[in-house]
Amino acid sequence: MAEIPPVKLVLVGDGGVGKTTFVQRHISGEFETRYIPTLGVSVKTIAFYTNYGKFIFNIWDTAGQEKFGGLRDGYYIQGQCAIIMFDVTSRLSYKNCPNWYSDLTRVCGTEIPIVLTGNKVDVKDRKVKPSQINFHRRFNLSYYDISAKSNYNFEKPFIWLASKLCGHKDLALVQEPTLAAPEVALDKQQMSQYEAEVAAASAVALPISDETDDL
Amino acid sequence: MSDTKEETTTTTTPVEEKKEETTTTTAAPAVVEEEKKEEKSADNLSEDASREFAPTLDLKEEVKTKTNEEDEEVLFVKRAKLYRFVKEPQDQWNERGTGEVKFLKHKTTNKIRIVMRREKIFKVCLNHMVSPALTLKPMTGSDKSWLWNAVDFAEEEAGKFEILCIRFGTPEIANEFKEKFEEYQKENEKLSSEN
Repeated sequence: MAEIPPVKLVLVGDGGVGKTTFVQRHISGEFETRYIPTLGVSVKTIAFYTNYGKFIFNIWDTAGQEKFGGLRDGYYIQGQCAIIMFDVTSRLSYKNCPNWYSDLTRVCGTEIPIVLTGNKVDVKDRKVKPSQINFHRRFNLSYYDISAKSNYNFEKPFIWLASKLCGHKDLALVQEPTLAAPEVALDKQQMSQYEAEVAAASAVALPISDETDDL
Repeated sequence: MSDTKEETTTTTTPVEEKKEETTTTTAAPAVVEEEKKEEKSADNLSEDASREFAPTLDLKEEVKTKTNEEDEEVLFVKRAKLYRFVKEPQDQWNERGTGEVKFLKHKTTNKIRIVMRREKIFKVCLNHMVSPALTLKPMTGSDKSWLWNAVDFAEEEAGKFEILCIRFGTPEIANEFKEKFEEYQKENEKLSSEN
């Protein structure tokens, strides 16, 4: 089975909208609550198994804050697809999307698939209402409400991009193969060496907000 | 091709034209600077997936990906949330994923492993043998959770030492999980002592 060459995905949007948190959520499952502005760019890989094979996205997670912009649109070169992200609790971050779009397309052209995403839809006090989100229509972008916190729609932008990149509308995610799980020759004694660490862990509470979610 | 039926204003014309003529990606069209003309009405928010792009990846046929669970029987499945303990930036529990945790018994070796996948993206976040050396321990302040440490093969072939915590919807399910876990540990132990 031929491998699909990695795809360069450019991720842009204002500072603090949640670009890095979104990427990190995908990679490890964790939800980062601290705000650590990205300097320049951070390139991370996210892979998805689909019914058309394994897609590898090299995500160019760019600085949203102007003062940390680094090479700016120098990072966009040869981008094959993009995500523009704003924060639905920040009108300004939505208002800036056309600027991000024009910066992107100036370098990458208008023929790459771009998806607009409104992040933080889990927040009660939403400022950018669904009816106000129409910028994407003008340029035929796709749009998704997403939440890196609740995982709402968090896979959708990638599915849409992958399906546009290969031109198959029926593209869907499939189960990742499990690795072999060998028997580990850890005996009880070795395991108990970690006991102090485990004891420390058991005293640390799980994230509070989690106790209320549905399982 | 065109779903510009709704009032596309005149400001979009340059881009509309661009779209028709070429698929080159090097062209740098002068995109009209947006102003705040936005606040028009929008009747629905469904994504505009109708636009076609020239595919850049030539993938002709669907491919079948093996799950590597084909030779296993599912013994027990419950929805849960998994965490891993980390020390940076401080001692804390980081989420690994929400999804179904299951025990899988191999049809020929009879060995039982525990596997969990994250919902929606189907990525593996937990994968190791239900070894007799493991111990499920209670979590302070939660009667729906269990904590254990193990060498996990969710993502790394070489395995990774993890301190894990799994949380279920109710204490009853959590208890049932522990019973099964310990039962399967005994089964695995019996198998290894037979060899």
